[in-house]
Amino acid sequence: MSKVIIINTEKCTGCRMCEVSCALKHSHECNPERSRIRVVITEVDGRATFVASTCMQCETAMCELVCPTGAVGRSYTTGARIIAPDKCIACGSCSVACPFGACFVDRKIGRSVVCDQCGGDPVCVAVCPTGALRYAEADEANIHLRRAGSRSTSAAMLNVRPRR
Amino acid sequence: MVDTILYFIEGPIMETLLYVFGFAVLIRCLCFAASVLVTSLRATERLQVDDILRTFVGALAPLHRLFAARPIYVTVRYVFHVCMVVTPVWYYGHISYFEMSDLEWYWPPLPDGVVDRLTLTVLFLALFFLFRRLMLDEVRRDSSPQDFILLTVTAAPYLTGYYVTHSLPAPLSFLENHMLDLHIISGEVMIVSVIFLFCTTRLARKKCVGCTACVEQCPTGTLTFQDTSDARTIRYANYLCICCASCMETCPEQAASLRHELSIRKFFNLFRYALNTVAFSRCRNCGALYAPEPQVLKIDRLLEARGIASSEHAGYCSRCKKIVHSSVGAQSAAG
Repeated sequence: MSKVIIINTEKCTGCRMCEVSCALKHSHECNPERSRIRVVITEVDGRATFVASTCMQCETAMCELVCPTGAVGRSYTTGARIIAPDKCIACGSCSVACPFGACFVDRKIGRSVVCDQCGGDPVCVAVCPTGALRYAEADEANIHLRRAGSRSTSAAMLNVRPRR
Repeated sequence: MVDTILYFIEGPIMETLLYVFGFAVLIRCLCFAASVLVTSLRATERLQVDDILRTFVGALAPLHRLFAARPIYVTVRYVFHVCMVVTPVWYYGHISYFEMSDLEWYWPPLPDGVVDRLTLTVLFLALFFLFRRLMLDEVRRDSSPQDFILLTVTAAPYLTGYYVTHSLPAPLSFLENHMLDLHIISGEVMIVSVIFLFCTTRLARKKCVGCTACVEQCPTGTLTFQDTSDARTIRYANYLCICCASCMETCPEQAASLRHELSIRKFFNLFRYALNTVAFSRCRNCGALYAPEPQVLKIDRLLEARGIASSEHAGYCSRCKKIVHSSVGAQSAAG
């Protein structure tokens, strides 16, 4: 069974350590725009809410369905979604199709990139100071999803205009 | 009268044209060098000189990038171009003109039999391209009158030259008497048209979705894109293009094509011009413009064909997706 990065929205403080570490690790540049995990800040009545978001490792992946060159696949070792850099033509189909906006075209390298879980040892999980990010089995993630859904924490955020 | 025409077209006019041709080639080389220099000065780390050289040599060698996709067509096209250059340059009659001129240049000619066969190859393949253009639906739809003019201009000197060397009977007596004049004039027309001949990329407006895959794959930075507030423009510089066909090869919509084009305007055009403009789609939640509209529609269609209610996915910008769909996902998982 493959592992996923579980995000606990209630623990996230929006410190963006995950963004910075991811950008440093993958692009050797302290540029959150090139990070594969992003923190979205929304505001409800002057009260800010933070959601970190990265690749959800969908079983039926939209990115894989729409990729014209078949560049999207899975890693043999971790089971994580990977985009083969030699096949990717940077058309951005995956980023349009992805339900979570996880993959994007990195214009500096001219390829589409997505969270590869750092090959089994995600750096964002290691640096997260509050423990909002956890690297766990996908089964466990499903339990977390159900709990989160029953609490419907994020339902209130549906009709909110995000701060730009 | 006839002799005066012949004197002029094979004497001063031809001489001037050859000088103009050499000058024009020099200008085009300079324009290419200047464009590459300006781009490499402006570019970051993306411009790779060895890649440019490799594609340039690859374009001259028989193994073109498109060889794997269409081996027969690429081979035929290559043979056609080689024959087209070799035939007039290594023909004894042409070399003797240079030998008799003030330059006194001489290079060993090919035997007449070989040149004959090369000429026939050119004519046969020109017929092949003509029929291909007329018979194949997809090619005919893309054809413009200029394509046929170009084919005629190319084939005419070879046809008349074959008539002249073999003294074949022509359909009209006028044609038969003036075949040499016609041969020289058609050759001169060809020389002039080569000056203004460009092989340029075109994007089919109906097919192109504005994904900029061609821009990312272009080794010389010929193709660029510019995002304005509501539209994306893909731009192209004709002097930077080395006709490597990587845009054709990479385009996921088969919208890009490399086509011969006679254009006086392009000869004087050192700057980029717009190939295609696509409008941006608006995010349903925040109203931000985030992706080219045709691409969003295409992804919608693709996902719908796979039985996935897709408008939910493609309709939002990547920022709003993270909010909207994380909650939707959580709810559907709970339900």
